[in-house]
Amino acid sequence: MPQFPSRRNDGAILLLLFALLLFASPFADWWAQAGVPWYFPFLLWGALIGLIALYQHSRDAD
Amino acid sequence: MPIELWLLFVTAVAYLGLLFLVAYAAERGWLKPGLVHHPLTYSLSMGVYATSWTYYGSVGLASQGGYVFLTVYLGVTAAFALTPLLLQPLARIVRDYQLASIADLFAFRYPSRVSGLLVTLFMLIGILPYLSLQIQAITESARVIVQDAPPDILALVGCVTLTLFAILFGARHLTPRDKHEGLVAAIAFESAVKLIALLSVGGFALFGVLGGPDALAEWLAEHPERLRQLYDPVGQGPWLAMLFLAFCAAFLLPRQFHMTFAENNNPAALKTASWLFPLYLLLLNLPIVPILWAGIRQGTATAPDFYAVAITLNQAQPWLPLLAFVGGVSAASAMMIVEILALASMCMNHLILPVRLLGHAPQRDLYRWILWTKRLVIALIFAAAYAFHRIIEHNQGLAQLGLISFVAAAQLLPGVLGILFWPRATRIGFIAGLCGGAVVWFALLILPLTVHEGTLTRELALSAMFGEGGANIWSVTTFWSLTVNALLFVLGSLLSPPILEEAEAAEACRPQPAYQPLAGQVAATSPRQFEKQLAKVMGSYAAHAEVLRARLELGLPHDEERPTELRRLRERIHRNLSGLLGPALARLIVDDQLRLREKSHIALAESIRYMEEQLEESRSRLRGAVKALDDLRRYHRDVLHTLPIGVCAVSPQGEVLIWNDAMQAIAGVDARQAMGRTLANLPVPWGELLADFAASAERNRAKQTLQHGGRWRSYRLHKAQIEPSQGQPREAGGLVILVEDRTDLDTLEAELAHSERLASIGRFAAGVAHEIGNPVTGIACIAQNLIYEDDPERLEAAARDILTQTQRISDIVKTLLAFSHGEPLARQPPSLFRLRDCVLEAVRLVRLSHAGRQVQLDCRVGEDFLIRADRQRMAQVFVNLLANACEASDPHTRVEVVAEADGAEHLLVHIYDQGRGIPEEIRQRIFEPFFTTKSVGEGTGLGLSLVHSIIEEHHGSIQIRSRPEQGTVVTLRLPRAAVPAPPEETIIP
Repeated sequence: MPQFPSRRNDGAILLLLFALLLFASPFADWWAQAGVPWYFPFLLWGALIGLIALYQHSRDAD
Repeated sequence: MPIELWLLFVTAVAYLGLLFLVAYAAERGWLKPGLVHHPLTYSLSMGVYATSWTYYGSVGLASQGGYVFLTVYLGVTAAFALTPLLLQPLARIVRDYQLASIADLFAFRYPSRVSGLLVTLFMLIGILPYLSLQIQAITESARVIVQDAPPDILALVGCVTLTLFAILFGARHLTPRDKHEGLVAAIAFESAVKLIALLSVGGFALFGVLGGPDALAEWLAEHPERLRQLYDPVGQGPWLAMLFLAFCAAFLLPRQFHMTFAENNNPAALKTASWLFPLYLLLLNLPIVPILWAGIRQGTATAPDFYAVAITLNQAQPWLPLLAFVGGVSAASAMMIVEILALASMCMNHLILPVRLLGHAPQRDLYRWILWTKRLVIALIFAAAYAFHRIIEHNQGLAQLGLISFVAAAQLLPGVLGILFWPRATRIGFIAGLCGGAVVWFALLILPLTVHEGTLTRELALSAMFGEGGANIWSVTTFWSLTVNALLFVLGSLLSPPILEEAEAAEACRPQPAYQPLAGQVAATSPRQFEKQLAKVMGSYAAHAEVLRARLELGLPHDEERPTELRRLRERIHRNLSGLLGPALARLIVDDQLRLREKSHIALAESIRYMEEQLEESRSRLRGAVKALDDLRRYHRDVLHTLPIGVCAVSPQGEVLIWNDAMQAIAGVDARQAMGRTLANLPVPWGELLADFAASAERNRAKQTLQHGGRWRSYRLHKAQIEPSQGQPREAGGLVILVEDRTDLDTLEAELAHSERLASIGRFAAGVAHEIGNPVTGIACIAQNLIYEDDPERLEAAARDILTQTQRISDIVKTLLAFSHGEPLARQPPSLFRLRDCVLEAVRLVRLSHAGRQVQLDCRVGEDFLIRADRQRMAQVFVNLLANACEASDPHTRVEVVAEADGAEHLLVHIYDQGRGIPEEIRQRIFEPFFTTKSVGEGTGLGLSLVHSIIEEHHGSIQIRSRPEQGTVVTLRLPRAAVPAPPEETIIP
């Protein structure tokens, strides 16, 4: 079944929204004040990169 | 422990020497191509994003704004998350239209010389302070290491070395379209070096200064304010603005654009880079916080910007400070080299070349001139950066000058969004928006630098107007510059109707462009004329090279004259020149020199090849309904090309558009050779044959013989008019010709006809014996009586009787010979003869059969009815029809052959019998091969099938009417031949 362009790129939009949730929303204020270790932002960043890699891998598989 | 200046200098020189070696090795192919083109190398080369700002300035930014420094990289990650929506479409446009810089991209989409010029000037002004900052960072880090001010000459030597590198490896090729593998490899190497250096310093900070993770945790427990200083600014102040600026900078900074798109050797590598490059940035930033805390822990007196080198000085081994310094050099040098190359390319295409090429005599060797001018521009920009470094006092932190450039680059965002998502955007809107944004940027960020001695403060008059209530300068300037920019962009676009070039460019930038046919015919009629025209602007050498290059890419011969192919050649030259001179200048030159004829058009159908090429090129991008349609198109094309019948589609102007595989095999003419030519220009003998058939009124030609491949071959031709579908222009029509190779079938048919003739003779054998037997008996009797005759008169009469009888035998034998004569596979050329003679010959033969003798055979065919046909085969027709009529008739009934004229050009020949008639169910199958109602061994079932085939071959028709028990009429309709002028042609009796 052919996919429409918007469908194929939905993942990219979701990733951007997820990035905004992590780093540009009240959630960012919350984790910044939650007493997390110093490397916590790097863990979030790494998770985002992992999701981007997974998404690209799934696109390649398509 | 301070390090001697000479050691620092030697280290820097050795490092730059190594950089030269890496670049040279990649250029010479000493490095494996797989390594140079590897996605990892590509991703590392994007590391040019991380400049001395990252390397040194991030620590300074972290000391002031905590984790705000991460936004500069998180924004990039967000941009790379949008790779399929943002970066891949841009990469496609850059690749397809051979764009060399971000200014080229805007000049292409917003066709105007002003667009490219404006972007170039704006980027030059916006980036120059950032370039000088790199020199400042290196000299400052050297000062920290040697703990003394290094002589200015060192900065100059560094600049000269980098200029040489940029010229050698960034402006190496004669044509700027070619990729610089050495440059990519060297920049990737630099990225690796700065990562290793920063990780080493970070490792030293964590384990050497802070005492390891556990000790760090204890130290943080004792100093919780350090962690709060990091986390408190998250989400506050410039956090969002900087995220946004970094998002824009990820692909809008000239150096990022250059490495991501212009130097990209492997388009697929962008997918890998979408996560690998952010991962690289993450690793690069991981040591920043430990370095900051190590500097604080050590109580280093140096500014936090240079903690990365300062903290390493307190240990015994000099290698770590040297490594840290080399890392800084790599960060600064990579940025300077790539940024200056990108700017030089923009200056060439939008500042220098338009002035030089338009209105001046052409260069003898344009390539060499471009190369050397570009090298000069590189040197000039380096010199300007060095001069700026000497003139301006850098009171700003490293990060602030970098951010000024980021805000400048962000002004290009509305234009890029217009390119990707708003086809209605116009150049007026883009220019207005960019000017508006630039004015705000200049007023809020550059003007204060001069007014306030190079320091940006919140008390600035203009920014203070908007910055009340806690807003910071980056948020304010970003918001207002982009708001003004976007508003003017939208308003300007809506108020100015797009011109044709804009509409075409907007279409080309769509993810799935609507495939436009190539409109118009080029006035130049050969590649040679193309060269002459282009030479007026580019000089003869470059003109020849460009036409040759485009011609070879398209596989066109030097004497190409097909209009469609010349139109494609023009398009290819346009694209290639776009890579050489920039899109604006390329369009200007091509439009001016390779003019299209006015009022000419190329039909939609004639652009089939071009459209197919475009579809093949962009197949991987097709999705959804478009992809389904393309699949359907490919299926139909495959069906067409694998048809066992030759297919040749012709445009209304007579040019070949489709020439399928079977046609190639039949004609021995390659599709590339045939397509685009007019039918008459096809190789002999096909040109004449097809042109004649296309022009004729006939829809079918049952038999056309040609000598091909050393033997005579037989073809059947059909043609049909292609009517344009509803909504399509009239030019979409044309003609389709089908060519069927019937040589094998004809051979088989001839063999069958020969067999049928022999079978007929076999059937006549009894009659022949009877017919010959009677005269022989008569001759025998006469001969016996001759013994007793001595009367000369009676002897003479007997001799005459014998001669009469032998003549009768001779006639029978001649008729048989004439009927059976000939090679089975040889076809006689059509001859002119009287129909009556042919019918009488058949009557004589049929009378030899038993059935033929039982009925009365009459021939009522006029003497003046002539036909042109294969006489032997025509005799076969009448023999078969008469034999059937006789066999179906009762004894003593009549079988009659009657001919009459049917208009001036045809004859009707009726064969009447009074026999049993043919039942309806048999009549429907009567012409099928091997269909017979006779017993096995009595008939082959081929007689009427052959009759049908022979009549069709002679452009005639056959019709049977029958009534049970009343008789049958077989009517043949044959073309009538005109009576020839006596000396030219003789009627065969």
